[in-house]
Amino acid sequence: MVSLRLETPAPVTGAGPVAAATTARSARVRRMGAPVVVAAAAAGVVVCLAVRDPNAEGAYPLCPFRALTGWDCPGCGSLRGLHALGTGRPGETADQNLLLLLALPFLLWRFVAWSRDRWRGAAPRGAAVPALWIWGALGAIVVFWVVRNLPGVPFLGSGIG
Amino acid sequence: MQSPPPNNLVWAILATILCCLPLGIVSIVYAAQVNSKWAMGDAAGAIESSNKAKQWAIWSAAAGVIIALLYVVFILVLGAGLSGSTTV
Repeated sequence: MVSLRLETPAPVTGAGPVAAATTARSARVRRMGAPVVVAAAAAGVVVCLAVRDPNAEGAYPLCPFRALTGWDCPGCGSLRGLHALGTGRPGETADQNLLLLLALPFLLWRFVAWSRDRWRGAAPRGAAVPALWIWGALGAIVVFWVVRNLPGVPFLGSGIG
Repeated sequence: MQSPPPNNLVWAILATILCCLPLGIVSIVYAAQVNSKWAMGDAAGAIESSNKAKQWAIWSAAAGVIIALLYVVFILVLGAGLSGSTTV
């Protein structure tokens, strides 16, 4: 039987309630380190993209898939899309990479749920979404990948329009 | 009922949408398998898929970083070559 580390460590006993509370608080501070780092990294990416505009030629490396094939991958347009979002133009984000705009609420939800679990000292959990939803998301990504490269399809490609 | 092992879907999505390498797609397949297998009572299989989802997300991110570094080196070399040719 495979054991899943689901138990939280037992609190230190016998050290008195004040010491136990202090230990619990410092354990919480330690646990919240990772969410703070992730939030800071995300903020860093947004600031970096606001300062160094990815619309400028050569500001960032081109997507290798696009460089090799000339086609958009499912992620093409996400840097420019994040830049547009960070500078207050979500409509442009939708135009450059619709998937990014759809994925951000999911990422935000997982970040909040993960941070809450760490705050409470709960074991890390997988997103308890039905498997069918994930297969559906996979199908949507593959369809998006194909359709955005079809000639004459507006809006879905990584460019504007 | 215990909760399923981490499906690493967040990393899979990040790799697919923000890392510009379609390797992340493979990671999403494994992430979906985690929840599928768990729903069927296959705990060991779910954990195996969980690890694979994580591996593929890491490979995708690593490949992205390596290609970005190669690109930077390429630009530097090209830039040096161009400036050299203009001075000649």
